[in-house]
Amino acid sequence: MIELNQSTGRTLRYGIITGLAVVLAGLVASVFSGDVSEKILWVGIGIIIFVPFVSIIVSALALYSEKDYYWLKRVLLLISILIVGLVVSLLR
Amino acid sequence: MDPSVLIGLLILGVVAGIIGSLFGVGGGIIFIPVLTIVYKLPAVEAAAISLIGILSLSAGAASYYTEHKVANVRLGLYLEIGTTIGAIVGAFVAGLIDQWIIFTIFAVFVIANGIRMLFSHGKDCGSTEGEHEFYAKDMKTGETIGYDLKHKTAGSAICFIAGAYSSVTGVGGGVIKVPVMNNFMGVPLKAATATSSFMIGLTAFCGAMVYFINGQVDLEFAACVAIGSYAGMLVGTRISRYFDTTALKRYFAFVLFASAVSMLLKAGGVL
Repeated sequence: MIELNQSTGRTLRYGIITGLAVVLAGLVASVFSGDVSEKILWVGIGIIIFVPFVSIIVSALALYSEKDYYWLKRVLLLISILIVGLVVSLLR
Repeated sequence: MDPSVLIGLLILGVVAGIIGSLFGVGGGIIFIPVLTIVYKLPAVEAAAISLIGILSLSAGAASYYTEHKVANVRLGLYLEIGTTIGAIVGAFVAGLIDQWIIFTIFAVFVIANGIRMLFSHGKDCGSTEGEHEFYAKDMKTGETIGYDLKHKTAGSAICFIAGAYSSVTGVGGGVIKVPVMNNFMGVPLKAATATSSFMIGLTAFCGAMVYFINGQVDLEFAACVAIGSYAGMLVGTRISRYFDTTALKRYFAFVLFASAVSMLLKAGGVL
């Protein structure tokens, strides 16, 4: 069984550390090359931004694993709203 | 990037990270005035960078509080339904609003937050005895406090306002969410603060996602702020158990009032 608090917390922790490591690499790269650093920074900032969304997915899986369907339905509604918002932003 | 600008942004991130993790706010109330007044960034660009700093801080603080079973993940995700809708609406509206309006809204918001910090002591909720819907660990005393939620639907509806404020002004919305959870929904103050730290990141994600997709994020500025705020969070979460945050809040309220005055002067074109 996936435990909700531990799985959500670890996703956030490892996700944000990964994102920050990439942006740090991007800042260092900016000393040597502008184009490459721009791309690395874009990826790193993208990771930082999407970490919370990934943690919500993990939370949903944990709730499903715990058979907590009351809260799972609400989290699935939240994920749906987020995806709609993302799609609308992309289409604009 | 000029090294002095880089160092300045890192320090800004660290200060905001410490304050944000101590008080359960996102740090936007520090980011926005400095980015707009000192670095002369337009309001929308400052909001985008602020949201990324908030994301970094929130993810770090939230991971700490969720793993230590202080934050209520279920409640946070539920309240985010209303907050997310507000944040998405706010991000689209932000681009249509004149800068001076954004600065004025932000200033009013900061003044309200300062007044709350001066006069609000937080509400005692929960009990260490009996069976309850949820439980939260008090990191200072080690006790487990049980509590039952009230007004769930209304709480989520109020969080729509927090979400819209977050996207328009670039703050995390914690200054609305913490009182809503503590005073209105029956969540103990420390659990409300920790849950707010978890929610702030989700709220900031919505607004930041729109700005990022629209290419409105200065990547180097955002990178520095994100690194600084995570470092500040590491300090703030570890020292929070040793501080009487009630006393700290009183002093911080005056910092907020000064920040609000500077934002009003900016809105009026004086700064």
